[in-house]
Amino acid sequence: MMKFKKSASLVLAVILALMFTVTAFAAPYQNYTVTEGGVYSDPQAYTPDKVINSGYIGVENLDGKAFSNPQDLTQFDGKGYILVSDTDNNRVVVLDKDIRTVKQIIYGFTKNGVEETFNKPNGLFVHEEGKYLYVCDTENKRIVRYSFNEAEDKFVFDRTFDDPDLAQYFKDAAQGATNTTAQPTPLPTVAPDTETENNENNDATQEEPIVDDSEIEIDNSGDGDSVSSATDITYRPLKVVVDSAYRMFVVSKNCYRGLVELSDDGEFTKFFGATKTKQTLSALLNRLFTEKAKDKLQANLSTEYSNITIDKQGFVYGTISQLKVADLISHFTAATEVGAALRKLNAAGSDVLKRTGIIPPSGDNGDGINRSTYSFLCDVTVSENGLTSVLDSQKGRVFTYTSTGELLYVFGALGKNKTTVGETTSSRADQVGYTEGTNLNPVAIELLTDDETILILDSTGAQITTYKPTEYGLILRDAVNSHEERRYDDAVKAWNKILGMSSNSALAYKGVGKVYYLWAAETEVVNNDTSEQREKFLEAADYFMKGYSQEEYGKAFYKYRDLVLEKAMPYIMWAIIIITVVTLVTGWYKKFKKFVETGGRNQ
Amino acid sequence: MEKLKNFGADLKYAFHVICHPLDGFWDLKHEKRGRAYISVLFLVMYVITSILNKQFNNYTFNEFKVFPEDINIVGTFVTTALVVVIWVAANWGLTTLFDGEGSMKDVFLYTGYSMLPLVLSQIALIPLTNILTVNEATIVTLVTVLGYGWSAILLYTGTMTTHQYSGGKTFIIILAILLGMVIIVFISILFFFLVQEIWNFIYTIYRELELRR
Repeated sequence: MMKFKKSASLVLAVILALMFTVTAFAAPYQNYTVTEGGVYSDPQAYTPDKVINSGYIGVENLDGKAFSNPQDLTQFDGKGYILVSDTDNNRVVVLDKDIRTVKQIIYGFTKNGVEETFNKPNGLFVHEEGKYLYVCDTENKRIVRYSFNEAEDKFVFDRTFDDPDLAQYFKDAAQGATNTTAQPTPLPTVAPDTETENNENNDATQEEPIVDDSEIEIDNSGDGDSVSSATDITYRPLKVVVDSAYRMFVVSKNCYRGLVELSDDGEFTKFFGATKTKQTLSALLNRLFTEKAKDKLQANLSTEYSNITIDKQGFVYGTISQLKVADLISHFTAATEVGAALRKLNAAGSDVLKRTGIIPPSGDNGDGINRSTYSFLCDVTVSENGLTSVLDSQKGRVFTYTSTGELLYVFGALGKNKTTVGETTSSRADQVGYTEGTNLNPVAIELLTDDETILILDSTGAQITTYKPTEYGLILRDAVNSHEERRYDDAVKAWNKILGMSSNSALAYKGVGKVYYLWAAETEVVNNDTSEQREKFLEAADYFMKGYSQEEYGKAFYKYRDLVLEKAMPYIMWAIIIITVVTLVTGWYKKFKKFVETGGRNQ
Repeated sequence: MEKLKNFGADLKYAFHVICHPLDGFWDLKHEKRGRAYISVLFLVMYVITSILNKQFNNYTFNEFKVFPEDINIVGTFVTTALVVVIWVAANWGLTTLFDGEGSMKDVFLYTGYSMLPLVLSQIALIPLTNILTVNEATIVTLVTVLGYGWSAILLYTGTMTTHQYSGGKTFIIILAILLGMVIIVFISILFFFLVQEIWNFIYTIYRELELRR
């Protein structure tokens, strides 16, 4: 960590250098890794393969309407289908495995004989076990569930999960608090917005006003932004994931309390995994201020999640983009939980993500001043073995980390020219100045399970770009996966191949070191002869040193030293005994000689 | 042979000084037991062991092991020997004003002799770090702290004995010396930039004349 400041500036240097050498590569970006020694460029791990836009699919196959501001995509692993939520067209498009043939276009559903349509559908989730499709119908404040019908080979409407009415919950909580603290006025968490939302929802039943009007007016006159961010708790589902027990975790727009957890029946259970905030002096002073002054201050609130995903074990991964520079600095220097852009939540909602890498898995480190030099993570996808890829909307990069949080590779870039892809068939790919593999506004990432292809959805460009792993990328993934699955021979082979391609790969050295360490620990000792084991530990230590892993080097060296000490201990003990005896004997001899010389007389 | 014997005796006296600082530093000055070349030797040893520490200490305790290109001899020299030289200068400058009895040579002598524990600890660290592991890191810390702490105590007693100060006054004067060192560094840098400016000025005039010729 000591070297860290150096590497931050090096990142920028590398990026600048890359800007001018772009043409030399097949892809419009360069892979790089961050090590203790600085930032190195690495061979490309992923290269762009196909660009899928409305023109490629055929606008006639899309009911005559090109993609418009698509916001999410996901894969239905069971069939290999790719689902895209075409947000501004208020529909969900189901594409076949080839990501070209349109299987189905979902516009809405018929419920109780009433035809209903989507209003800005956003997040999609496919529950593989139950073969359910969940669609976040954001502006209609509901989640719509479809079940997959094998016979018809399409998704059919199953049910809706309507607005759980968070406002009601907040009101109850505030009233409870009011009773306990015996305050005449409700806590500021009850917002005027809440009131109005609530009234909108229950038009028929005009509830008695709990907050008196003057109070509301004061609230409204306050600084608009900060107040609304603190109190706007309208339920607007953006993204959803569902665990094996059919519990839903929902990212609600502007909800600062974390994820909204809903039961399998759509009932509100609790808020889940709110991000930690730093206790600042101003937040402390806040308690002394009057209500009126408080409204003018920026509230010290948790940041909302930008996206979530769930892995096979049921851990929820969330990305956070709206982070403050101060928090990011502390996160990047000390790997603190405050300021973490990627979180892995366990069932209790606490962060269990390992951050052992040289920089924590939160994308690029910035210059410490401008937020724009840091990453804005907007989506995450996780492989079966815990390889986590996060998408940075600021620089268009995809960062892939191991399950322990070490950076594997980076790819992706932002495109430069603005385009207007709307109703026409003209696609961005045909335009002058477009570089394949770039995105204008990447919003979603998905890893295809069968061939490790990564899809990136570009909302402004209204297209999907597929990225295929290169040989280097495949070997790297194979190396990590082999280690994860305890196929250590394969892992060493793969890491050595990586070293052949990228000789300064600290990751590979560390990878080999880890396996050697395990092998050394498992070495059978015959007749107390530990020389073989010692050699292996020393070898592991050497690899760890090359991989700049001081901690692991220390462990391996400790094992080696102990074995050497064990071997040498008898000799050391003998040496000590002999030296003691010799000094004692010579001392006595001198005394004796003196005694004889002086004849025993005391001088 | 005679010279070697003298050298041995002088070196032995240095160990006597670090073990009996009050008595040792008194004799150093008043009995003329101090030798300037021993002081210089310790100072040079201090620089050399500092570099050797970066080069040969085990990776467990030394990040330079994997970044040998980062070891900067000039930088090490500046942070070790130059600091000592500035200390001597500031020390002499201030103590002369505040009734100190030591001459510049006396100051240099006791400063050099005070470096001995630091040098010894740094020499001991080279084999130690290559034997000890993370679990025994406290021993390494202990040796390092012992070296610095002992030397600091010696500098304190040396200042006290050589300049004939009371304990409290020594403490204050040492703080003043440290402040003086900062001022010296500041003025040196200022001077450096000034000279650079003057040089630039002369060079500009030269260029102007050269172009208009």
